[in-house]
Amino acid sequence: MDTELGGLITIFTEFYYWVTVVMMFLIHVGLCAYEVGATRRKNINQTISRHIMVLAVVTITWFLFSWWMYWAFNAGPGIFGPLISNDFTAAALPWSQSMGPNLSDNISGVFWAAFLLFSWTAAAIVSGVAIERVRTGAFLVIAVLVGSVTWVIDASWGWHAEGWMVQLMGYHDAYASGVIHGVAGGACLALAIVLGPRIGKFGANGEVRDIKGHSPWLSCFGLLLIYAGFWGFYAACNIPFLDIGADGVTRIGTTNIYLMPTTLSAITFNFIMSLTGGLMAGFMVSRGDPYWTISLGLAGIIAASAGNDLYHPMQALFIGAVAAVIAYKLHFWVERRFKIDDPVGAVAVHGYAGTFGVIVAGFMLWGYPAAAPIDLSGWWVESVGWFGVTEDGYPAVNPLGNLIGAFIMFGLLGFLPTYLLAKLFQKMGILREPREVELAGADTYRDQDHYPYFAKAESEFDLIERQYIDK
Amino acid sequence: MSTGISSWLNPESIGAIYPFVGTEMLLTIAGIVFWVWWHIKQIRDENRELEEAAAAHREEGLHKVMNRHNGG
Repeated sequence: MDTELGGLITIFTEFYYWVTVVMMFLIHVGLCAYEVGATRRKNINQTISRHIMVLAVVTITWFLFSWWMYWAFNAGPGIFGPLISNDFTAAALPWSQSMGPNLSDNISGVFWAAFLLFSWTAAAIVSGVAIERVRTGAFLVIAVLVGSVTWVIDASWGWHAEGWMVQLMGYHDAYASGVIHGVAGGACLALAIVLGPRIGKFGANGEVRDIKGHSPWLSCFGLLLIYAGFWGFYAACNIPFLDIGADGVTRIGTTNIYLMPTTLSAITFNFIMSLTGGLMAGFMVSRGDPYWTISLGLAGIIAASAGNDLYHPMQALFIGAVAAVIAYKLHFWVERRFKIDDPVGAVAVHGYAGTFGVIVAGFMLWGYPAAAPIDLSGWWVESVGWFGVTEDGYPAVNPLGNLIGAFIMFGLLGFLPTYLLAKLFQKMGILREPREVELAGADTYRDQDHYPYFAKAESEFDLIERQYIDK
Repeated sequence: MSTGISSWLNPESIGAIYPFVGTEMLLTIAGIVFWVWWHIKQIRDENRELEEAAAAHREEGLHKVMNRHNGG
């Protein structure tokens, strides 16, 4: 802060990210509410506690090693180059004096926290798919894997101006369609497969039963809160105040995470329009089901997010609309065909919509500069932009780079690690609750009824469940 | 005696402001130990409680347990 202008920029940037963190907290209020709403009365306390503890275990690990990984893993490490070692990686080490109150560093804390809230999102998304049957302890380790390891690796590779996916493949995913939602969706699918369906979800003849949560309205309200928090997420993905002018020419502006120009206005247009596309298509395809309509509004934003820094608003709207239809149709087809129980539709809304969005962005933004090329000396490759460069020598966004990127996000870093860890826990016998506890409800043993003064009533599904007691 | 800062007169020369600067590595190691211990203890406690709950439900009978909880 050598000058008044420099000081103003620093304080503005610090406050900007702080505000985004507070706004993003609403995502987690919303995620918790919608997950709890989708839970039956007998498991509510367990769902609340588990969801909140996801945030705690991701936070401590985010401090201890993940933030450093984001800065240090740009080249793999060990795939295209060594561990990155520079001032940024040094400042992100947990024993660095920048990782604490420091009068000479106003930015590390708020930037760390903004990324932490992204991590919470990645891990907490997975929580919904496992409700009413997963053991909390196993799930919290899986949450650390997703929130503090796999998504951080993919962010370092594909959500950082110097990541190898950006530099070598021209990967573009400005608001994390794949980087967060694709990875989380892949992890959701893996966990749902290994866990298996809730008891009674599928009948003896393969019929799919609808297990209603205790409060559809609470789920809808939670989704609306996620919308509110999503504004903060979008703002946090931008760098608010940078000189983006050519050499020697000052041009103050806003950039995306890759330090390429955009504006807050651009993402405001596209956030709202992609939401609208998702809502309009979602309302039609779900025949006005409020839970699915609002969920598919979210799917619309998630799909368009990869290119919402640059799309025309009508493009964002149509991408959101198509994604909503794909997500909805795929959810029920996978449920019927493979008997996979995803109680909250997380695989569809995050995984299918996000992956679709990454692929579409590769076509729509073909030829746009992905990021400024970096000096690759020290790396084990020689040139940037394997699938094309711009006239200025920048790696260019292209369909193949984003297609491979979508596979890396959903499959390689999303599905595979979670599948393997869940299988290990299954083998150890610590993944799923005992059958008796699952049938009786996790809150029953300690008599933790969340609605002790409400008249108790047996649901239609309780009667179905009782058929499984003696089996 | 001061555990950290004893004067704010020259803020431009001040960096870290938390007490006991220099103990960051020890705090990191303590954090890792606490984190790993927490998971292990939580998983052990949960497994024990789940086993107790399953045994209790078996003993009482699941129909009775579900009746008691659901009022059926």
